[in-house]
Amino acid sequence: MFDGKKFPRLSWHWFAVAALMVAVLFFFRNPKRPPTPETLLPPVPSELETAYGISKAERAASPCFQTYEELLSDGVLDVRIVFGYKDARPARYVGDRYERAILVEYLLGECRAGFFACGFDRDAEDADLFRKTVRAANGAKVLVRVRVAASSVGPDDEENRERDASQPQQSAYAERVFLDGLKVADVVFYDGHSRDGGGPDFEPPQMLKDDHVNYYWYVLRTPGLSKTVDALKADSGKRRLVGVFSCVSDKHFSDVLLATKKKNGLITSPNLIYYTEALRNLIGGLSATIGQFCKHSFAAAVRADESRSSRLENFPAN
Amino acid sequence: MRNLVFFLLIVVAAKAGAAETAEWLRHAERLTGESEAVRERAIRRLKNVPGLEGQLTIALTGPDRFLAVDVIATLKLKNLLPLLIDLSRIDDTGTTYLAMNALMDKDNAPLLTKLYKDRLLANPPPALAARMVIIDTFGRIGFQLAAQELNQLYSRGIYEVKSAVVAYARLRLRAGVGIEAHSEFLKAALKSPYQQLRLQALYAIKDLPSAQQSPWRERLETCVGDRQEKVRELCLTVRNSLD
Repeated sequence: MFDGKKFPRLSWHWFAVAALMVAVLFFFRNPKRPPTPETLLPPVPSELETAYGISKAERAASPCFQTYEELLSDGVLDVRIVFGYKDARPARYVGDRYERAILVEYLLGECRAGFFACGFDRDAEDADLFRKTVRAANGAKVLVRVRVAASSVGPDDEENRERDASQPQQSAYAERVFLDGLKVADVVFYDGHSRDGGGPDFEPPQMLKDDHVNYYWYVLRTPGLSKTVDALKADSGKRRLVGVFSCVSDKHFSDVLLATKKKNGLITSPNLIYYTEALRNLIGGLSATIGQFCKHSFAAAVRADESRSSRLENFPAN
Repeated sequence: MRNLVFFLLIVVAAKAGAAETAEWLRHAERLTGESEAVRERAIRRLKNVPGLEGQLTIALTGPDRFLAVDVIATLKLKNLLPLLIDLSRIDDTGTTYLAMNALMDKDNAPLLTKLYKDRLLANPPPALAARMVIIDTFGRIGFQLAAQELNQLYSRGIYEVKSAVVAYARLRLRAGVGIEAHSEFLKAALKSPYQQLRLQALYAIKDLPSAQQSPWRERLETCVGDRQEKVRELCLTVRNSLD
């Protein structure tokens, strides 16, 4: 083959072997994942700024880098995402299981440039738990652990509250995931009803006789907000990111939540928000956190920029 | 002068068109999250928007398509059902299926249920949320899927699809239909590696009509040794309630 004077002559067999090896390598390096759904992909800024782009010399003085350094210091990014009981009273429809499914499809789907809420594997025994490993900006391995819970057990509120024995335990589980997350997790997102400031809420709604939601009950008692504030006050001083993706959550919840621990980051909605927009902002917040986006890029991902679909406070630090 | 008047007329017409487009959107945004009075007012105003169906047809292909779908479902614009059927081919949120459900009546039910079934069993299947919507719809309206179709959905589906099949089976069992066939899915769920499915099956057994409960006393012998404490506890509770 090699006569010492010219380049070796390679027979076609070697090319075939090389091609086969490349194909095998490609197959095992890129296990087949379902394609990422398009509709609710968050915007990716044209000039993406992340903690990865900060040089070693600048890290100590970079609030963005230090935010993620603190958040990921234990090698784990612990995320809890809870869909509240998304009824449409006076109609009987309840939709949080479907919204959870939309998010799950992103989590399990393939990743693409600038999008990081993807490429997860589901736990073999716990259907609500998803994991993947990433590299932090400081080079350390980080386990990203995401628990995703829904509050309802079916799409019919009347069936759920009157004929399904599992509804109370599902509501209690969803609330526990949320409140425990406020005490120990790094990121806690709620996507549900505000109940006019009485939320977050994980149960079938309190209703009036005409099947409308009894907002007076929620405004007077603020059951969800009270428990949320108590949980935040009980935390250990750990900095976390809290997202409340519900209608007018900025007006209802921001001041009270920020007063509990000024170090926490907060994402809220300034206005009434359609469910697809709330979910898009949530997916954007998750992707931006895993991707360690800095301030302007993070704001773009959750559309807290000129879109004003969200309001972003204290995260990442300026 | 004539050209100036003509130009001004074009500008005014364009602005009027734009104002109408903005108008339907403004009303559509008040269909959710507002008081019932605001919602009812929005519905009345939407019904009075000139050329609404034409505007919605255009909106279905753009960024306002979710609001357009919401308006179609709320106002029950059955003329636009063919557009929803077409749009559902690329639906990755389940939204168009929910809208089609709102338009379902005894006349179009055969068409829609056939469409749903064909999509559900197709390869590749529709989006995960869409599959759940379809299975839930079949359970709610009592549409019977064949045992082998349910087997296919359960065995090949990921957790959310399996859970929807178990919920479907629960509803069919409560209706007293196909007891033996549908019980197989509760049995399969009891053996699932997912604790959530085992719990779901136990609750479904708890909700069964009393006439169907007795065979389950023996079948629940194994779950009292489940590795998850909450599954063990629920198993004991359900088994004791069947005595």
